[in-house]
Amino acid sequence: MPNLIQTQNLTFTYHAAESGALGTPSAAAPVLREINLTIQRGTFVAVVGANGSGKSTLAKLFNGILLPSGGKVYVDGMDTLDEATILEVRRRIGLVFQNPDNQIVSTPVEDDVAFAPENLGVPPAEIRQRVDDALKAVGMYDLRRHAPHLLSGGQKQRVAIAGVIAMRPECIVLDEPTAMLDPIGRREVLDTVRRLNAEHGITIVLITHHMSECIDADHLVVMSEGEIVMDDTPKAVFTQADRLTELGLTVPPTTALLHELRKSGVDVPVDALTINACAEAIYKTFP
Amino acid sequence: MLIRTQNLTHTYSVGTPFERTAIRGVDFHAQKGEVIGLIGHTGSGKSTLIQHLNGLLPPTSGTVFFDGEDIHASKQTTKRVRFRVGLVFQYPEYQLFEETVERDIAFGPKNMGLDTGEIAARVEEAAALAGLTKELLQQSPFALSGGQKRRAAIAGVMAMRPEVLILDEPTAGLDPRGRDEIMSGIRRFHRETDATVILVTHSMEEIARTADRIVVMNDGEIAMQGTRNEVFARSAELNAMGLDVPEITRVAMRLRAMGLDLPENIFTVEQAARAILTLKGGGPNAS
Repeated sequence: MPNLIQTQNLTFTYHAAESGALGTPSAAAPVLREINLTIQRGTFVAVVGANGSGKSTLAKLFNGILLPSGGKVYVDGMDTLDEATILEVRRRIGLVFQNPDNQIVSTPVEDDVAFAPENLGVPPAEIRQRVDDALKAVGMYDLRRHAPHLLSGGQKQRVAIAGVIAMRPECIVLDEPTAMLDPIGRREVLDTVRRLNAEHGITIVLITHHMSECIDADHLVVMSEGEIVMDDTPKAVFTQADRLTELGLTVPPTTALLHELRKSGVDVPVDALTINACAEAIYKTFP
Repeated sequence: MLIRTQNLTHTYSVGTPFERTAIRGVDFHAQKGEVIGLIGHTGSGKSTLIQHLNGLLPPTSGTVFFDGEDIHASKQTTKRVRFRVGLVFQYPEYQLFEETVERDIAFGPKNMGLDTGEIAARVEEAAALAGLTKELLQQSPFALSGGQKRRAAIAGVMAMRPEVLILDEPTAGLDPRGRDEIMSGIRRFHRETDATVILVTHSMEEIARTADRIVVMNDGEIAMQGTRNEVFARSAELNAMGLDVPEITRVAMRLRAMGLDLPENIFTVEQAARAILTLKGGGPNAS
């Protein structure tokens, strides 16, 4: 089955008692409406949208932390509403959140990473193997005996990712994992995510407010007011700068520069997203 | 000099196994009306430094001067400085608590012992500066969007008419429109009041657009300070400190390396577009 996650007419409404999350002004209004989204195994999907557009809610529906109010979420063909398979669903989809300090439970680093496999009842020898593999995958193996509170923000977030990887998930969903990080911490986390996707074949769903982080994704999903309004390659999405502005979003600085130059009559493509591609596109317009 | 620290050192948990010196021998200064961008990796001491500037943290050694006076000279001095130096923490919307936005913004001025008429005038002024409409003032802060909540919290500090406004990561976790609205509010406040603004952020783009002077912290010390040109010219050193130059600056650096005769002071999309058009002979500054 090539589809890892599939939603069918997915609708979600927070009950009054659960409301109050950032950007959920009305308790009764549905946060998600008729979402039909397919995420294929092994792909890197980025999700953007204004605050309150339903991105984080969607992430929590992917692994059954939240359950649909209407419609379905299937993970590897399993309905998240089916209690008999919900543990299998959670084993396949790991979640990483914004604040690394809220996700680290144990010290030193390697004990923290072992926490989830221990709870899954994995035999000790295999736990050792999984922890080592996970720490190597995020580039934190050398710091395995460190206390987490002594690490930088980027390092802590990589430990949180290692903790998820140790469960051997098929997919990692990251909800604004770089919002609290400095530029290099941000780069460390993004490089790690890209490597996990390219080298380990882990499906990645990256929710972010930073358009530059979406450039390498296979698909870019744009959400607005609980609906999916665009779902295409990053190049195709960022070509529509005006539409994104209407939605309270923006384009990466590279694309913004290319759009600006085009407006002044310079014949450059607007879909050169990376720094090198953008520089080359501009360079070519000079005789 | 409006605010100044002399040989400022702060050690947390002195005499315990967790003893840690967060800042060491810091000589920081800010003039009246200046906008300072304070950058540095996570854990570099930025937050510790700014909490000294309004007397929230007492120095372990060294002195903080406001308007030439040691802010810890007496209890009265410290108290007075708290009203003159306004500090907006990270995620300040978590501190909203009143029934209406208006009452929340009025909380600070009320604590200053101002009369009712003056409080109302301050609330109106601060709301306008922060970009909040009159209709929003009568709503519950919890009914606002993420960006509006953040602006309401910032307005609460602006309403005290501080001579120095310090903001710690004011745009973290917001969508692009929300970030723009916050940054416009900060620039409007600066323009209309001529207060000193100290902006702590991980976004080099925001710094490039807003700051007159950049102060770089690294491992508890001031590692660099200067204009945008001076600081962003040292990109290799910034990288080594967990920081970076704006993305558009990297595009311009790449183009220069390819042989285009672009100026070195390119930090925003508009500057880059103008410089490229000028080089083509079609720009506004073409000779």
